Amino acid sequence: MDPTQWDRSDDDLMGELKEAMEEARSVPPDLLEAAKAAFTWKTVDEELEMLTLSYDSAMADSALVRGVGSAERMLVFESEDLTIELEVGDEVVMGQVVPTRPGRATLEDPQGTLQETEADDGGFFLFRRPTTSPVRVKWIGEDTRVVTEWVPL
Amino acid sequence: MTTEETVIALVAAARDGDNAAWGRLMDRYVPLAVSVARRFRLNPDEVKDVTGTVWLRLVEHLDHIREPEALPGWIVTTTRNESLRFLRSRNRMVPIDPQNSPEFESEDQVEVDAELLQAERRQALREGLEELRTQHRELLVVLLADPPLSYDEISLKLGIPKGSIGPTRARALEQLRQTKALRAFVAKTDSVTDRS
Repeated sequence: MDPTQWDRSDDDLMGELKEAMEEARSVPPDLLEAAKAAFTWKTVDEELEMLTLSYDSAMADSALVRGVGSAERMLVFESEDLTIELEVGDEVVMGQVVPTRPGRATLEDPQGTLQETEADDGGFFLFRRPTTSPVRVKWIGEDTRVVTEWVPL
Repeated sequence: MTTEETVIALVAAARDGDNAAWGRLMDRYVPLAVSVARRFRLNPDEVKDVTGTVWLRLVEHLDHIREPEALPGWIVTTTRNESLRFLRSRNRMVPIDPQNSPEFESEDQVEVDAELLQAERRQALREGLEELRTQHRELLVVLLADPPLSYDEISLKLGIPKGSIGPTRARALEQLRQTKALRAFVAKTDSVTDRS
C-alpha cells in the first residue's frame, strides 16, 4: 500500500478512520484544557521582545547518546542586542544578561510567576531549579523588556 | 466544520485574540501533537509537558506564521524537536538528530518518519470527516461506534432505512476521498516524494 494514497478498499478506509477517531478520543481532557489555556499568554506578552533559543547543550551533542551525569545544561537566548544565558544545575539555575544592565529577572511557568530576583552588578541572577516545566525567564529593566522562549527543563 | 473555519481563518482569528478560534485549533491539532510525542515513548506526564511547550511556542509565534496551511507540518516538526530535546536533556537514549546528521539516518529514524507520516494521515482523515455533510459524517461515526451497533439500531438512531445504510456508506467514503483535507495530504506527500 502506498501510504500517500487513499485508493484503499472501503473496509480498509473505515478501519483507518476508526484509528483516527480513537486517537482523538485518547487525548486526556486535562491535556486538552492545558493546550487551550496556553492562549492566555498571548495578550500578556504583547509588549515584550522575544529572545529566541539559539543554543541548547542538550541538543548540541552529535553523539548517539550523551554521557550519564554530564555537565550542566547550557541554554542561550538571543535577540539582536541582548543575550540571556542560563546554566541549569541540579539545584539551581544561574543566569546572566549580556550586555550587563540593571534589571529584575522573573522565572515563569505556564501557571504564572515562580520566582523573582534582582540581578547583581555583573548581570547575574540565580533561581532555585523549578520542579515544573516548561519555564521561561522575563527580564524587566529601565529600557529593556524581554522574555525568553519557553523551554522544558 | 463550515467552510469559513479553515485553518487560515482560525489562525487569523486567534491572532486577533479570539479565544474560541484558538480552542477550535486545539481541538483539531492536539491529537496530532500527542500522537507524535507518544512515538518517542514519553510517559503521559512527559507528553503533557512536551505538547504544552509546543502550544506555548505556537502562541508566541502566532503573529509570525506566514503560511497557516503549513501549520500541521510545523506542529509535527516542533513536537518532534521538543520530544528529542526532552529525551536528550534527561540523558535518555535517543536516535541521532536526523536534521544534523542525515548520513547517519538509522532504521529507527526511518521508522519514526513513517510513523509521523501515519500521524499526518490520521490528522487528514479527521479533518476530512469534518468536511463531510452532516448526513455522511453521522453515518460514518455511528458505523464506527464502540461497541458496534447493528443496522437495525443505526436505522433507528439516524432515522434512515436499513437498505440505504450500505449505499450511503459507500457514497460517504467516496466523498471522504474527495475532501480537501485528503487531497491536500496526497498533494503534499507527492511533492515530498518528487523531491527525493
